[in-house]
Amino acid sequence: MNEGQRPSPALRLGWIVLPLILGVLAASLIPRPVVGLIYLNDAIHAFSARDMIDQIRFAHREPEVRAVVLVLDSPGGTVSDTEAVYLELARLRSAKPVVTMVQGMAASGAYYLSVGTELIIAGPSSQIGNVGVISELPPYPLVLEDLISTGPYKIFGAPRDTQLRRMETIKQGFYRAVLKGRGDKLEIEAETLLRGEIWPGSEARRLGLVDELGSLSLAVEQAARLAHVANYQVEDLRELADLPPAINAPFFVETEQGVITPYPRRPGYYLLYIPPPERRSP
Amino acid sequence: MKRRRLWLALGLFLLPLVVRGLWYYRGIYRPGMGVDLPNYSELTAPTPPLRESLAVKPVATEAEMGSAPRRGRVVLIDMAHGNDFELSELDRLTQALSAREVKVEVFEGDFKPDAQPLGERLKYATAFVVIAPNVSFSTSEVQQATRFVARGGRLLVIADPTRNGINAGRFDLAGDVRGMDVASANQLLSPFDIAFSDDYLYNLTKNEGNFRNVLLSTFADDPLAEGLSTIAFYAAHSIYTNTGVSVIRGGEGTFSSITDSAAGYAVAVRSQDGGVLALGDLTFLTSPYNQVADNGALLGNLVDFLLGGERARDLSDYPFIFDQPVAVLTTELFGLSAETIQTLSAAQVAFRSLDLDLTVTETPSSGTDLVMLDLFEPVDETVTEEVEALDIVLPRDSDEATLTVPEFGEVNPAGLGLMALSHSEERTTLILLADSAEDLLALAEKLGFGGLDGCMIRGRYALCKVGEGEGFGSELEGGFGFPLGEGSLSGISLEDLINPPTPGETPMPEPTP
Repeated sequence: MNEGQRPSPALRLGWIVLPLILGVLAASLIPRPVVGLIYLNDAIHAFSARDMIDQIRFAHREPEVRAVVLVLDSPGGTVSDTEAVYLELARLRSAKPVVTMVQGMAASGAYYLSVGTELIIAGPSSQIGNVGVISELPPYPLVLEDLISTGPYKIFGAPRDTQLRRMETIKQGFYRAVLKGRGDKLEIEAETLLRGEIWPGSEARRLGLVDELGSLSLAVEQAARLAHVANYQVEDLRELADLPPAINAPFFVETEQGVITPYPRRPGYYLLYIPPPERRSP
Repeated sequence: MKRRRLWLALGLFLLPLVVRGLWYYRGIYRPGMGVDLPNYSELTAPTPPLRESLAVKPVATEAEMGSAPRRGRVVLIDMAHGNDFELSELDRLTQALSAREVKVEVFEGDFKPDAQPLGERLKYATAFVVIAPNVSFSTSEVQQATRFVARGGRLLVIADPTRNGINAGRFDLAGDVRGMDVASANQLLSPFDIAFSDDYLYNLTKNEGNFRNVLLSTFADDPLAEGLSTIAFYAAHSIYTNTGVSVIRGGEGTFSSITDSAAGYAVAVRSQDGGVLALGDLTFLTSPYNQVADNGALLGNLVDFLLGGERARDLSDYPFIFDQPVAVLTTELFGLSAETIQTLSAAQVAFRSLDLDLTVTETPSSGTDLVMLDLFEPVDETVTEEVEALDIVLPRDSDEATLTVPEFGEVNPAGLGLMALSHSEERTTLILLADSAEDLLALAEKLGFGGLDGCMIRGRYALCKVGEGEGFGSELEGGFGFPLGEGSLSGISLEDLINPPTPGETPMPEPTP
């Protein structure tokens, strides 16, 4: 081309439009951040725990999920399932912020999960606490004519006294998790905390068991703030992960009349709040 | 020029990326304090402080046996009031008692035809143990237990918050979970100013494996706490008393479930007279908990308490006033005849059911207790001596031909039989006196009934109706055969007593106290 020749207008426009279009296309690959919600509206048992863990793992591996809000309304559940979810949440927190929103109840094992998150937000009258362990002791060891085992505790699991003492170990684990999670925010003595009381959200706030009183929207905003994201979308992670509907497996005892009672179906250790039953009519 | 266009193109390409990026992402998340987890592997279950062996005292010494009834000491355990425990749980306690040559018996109530009521059983018991009762005691049973303690018996009452008759398994707390154990136990303890509280003590920091298993190190200066440094109670009621001694109390940080406050609550209380002990826990007595800390030593001290009373025996304890085989002393007056044999055989049967032998002898020998029968004008000199020693004034020695008996005063002997009891180191002697041989035989028949029916008993003395008195036909003033003097209704005629004047007429004079 000669120096005297100038590029055509079309070519000049191409230098502008084409990169712009390519840039827009490339920018569209940047995902809109998602604040994911994981709901727990059940006791913590094998099915609900596995369900939560699936969602946690999805949140961990999917780049668009930038923060998680754990929405709790649960009385707690088995020790093993609670600890499993707690440890998965800890792994998730190493990569992404997790905030708890207590909608209703976060008692015992549910509170155990919440102290593993960065922030706990509760409704003013939601029920918080019940720190402790509950268990039914095995029967006194005996021998039977037709049921034979190879050791005295093969059938019963442990001596009664040992089972009782192991509860202290689990309780200490729970208490230390609370200390790790709440740290200097706690305004309550160990003796008072370990009495196993349930406090309303407003009092739990004063005792340092939760951080703020508010709604789910506030929890989402806080999660987004921790994740340094804006203009995000809020998604139920179960739907986002395309997981099957929650399995409604009966954790509690169902009477012959079809009434679900707040008693676990089998013996074991529980981080569970069992509300007092209704009085029977004379 | 070309280079400028390249830069422009690059910028235009990056512009949407930056805009979109900043529109959504405002920073990079970094976990604030790091994710810190509890160190689960260093958590261990608490272990109990075990002692090597139980402090079980050796077999009873001669000195101990010397103070014990020759018939042997008996500890009676109540199982008649819905008691929420198994006898096997008291194995260590019963073994310790057996080592001290004490017999343990169970009171299962008097529903069976041959069963004796509580009052009869307490006549020979050294101690009465009531554990976790969930059925109330009758008024007479409470009175019997109170009398038992007043006469040297030892009463041990144990209530345990986990033994209230409620079997709540698998978290099933439906219905009212308040048991009857405290209410029932307090019925027995009320006369002694002791009361259980319907609570349990707990300590969340200093405990034996669980918050409800409290460690106790505060003791009063009491034999029950001798040699104790620390004991463990496994869910214990607190106990109140105003006049008694709080032997074992909770320390700092030991709260009551009712008040959630620590106030030095007592878990072991002894009554003011020392004859009653209340304990707020049963579990510490059972295996393996009796090996924790000083629980074994406490068990040993408990045995000392049960055997520490000195039982006063009087005629209200009949027939358990005898400790040795019983010999009826024959005299010129009371010898073997058809009538006396019939009377004594009934007594022999009654005594045999109580594991006592009854024989007849002319000469008292060592190793036997005695029954002596005579008239108000004794034939036997030995009887005369015994009567004098008992401060009894016989009619022949009285100006007014009355019988003077301690605890009763002067009485008209007509139709009456007298029983009097004396104890010595060698033997127990029961003296029967009456006005005539027929009355004496009738009096002897009461030996076979076992309960001295028809007799008024005052300590070591008893007056029994054995014949016809002179009551309504008495020439003495006041009627009913009572001479004037202390205790008489002076100024009141027999006619007035039978037909008192109607109101408005001359009022009856007040009886003199």
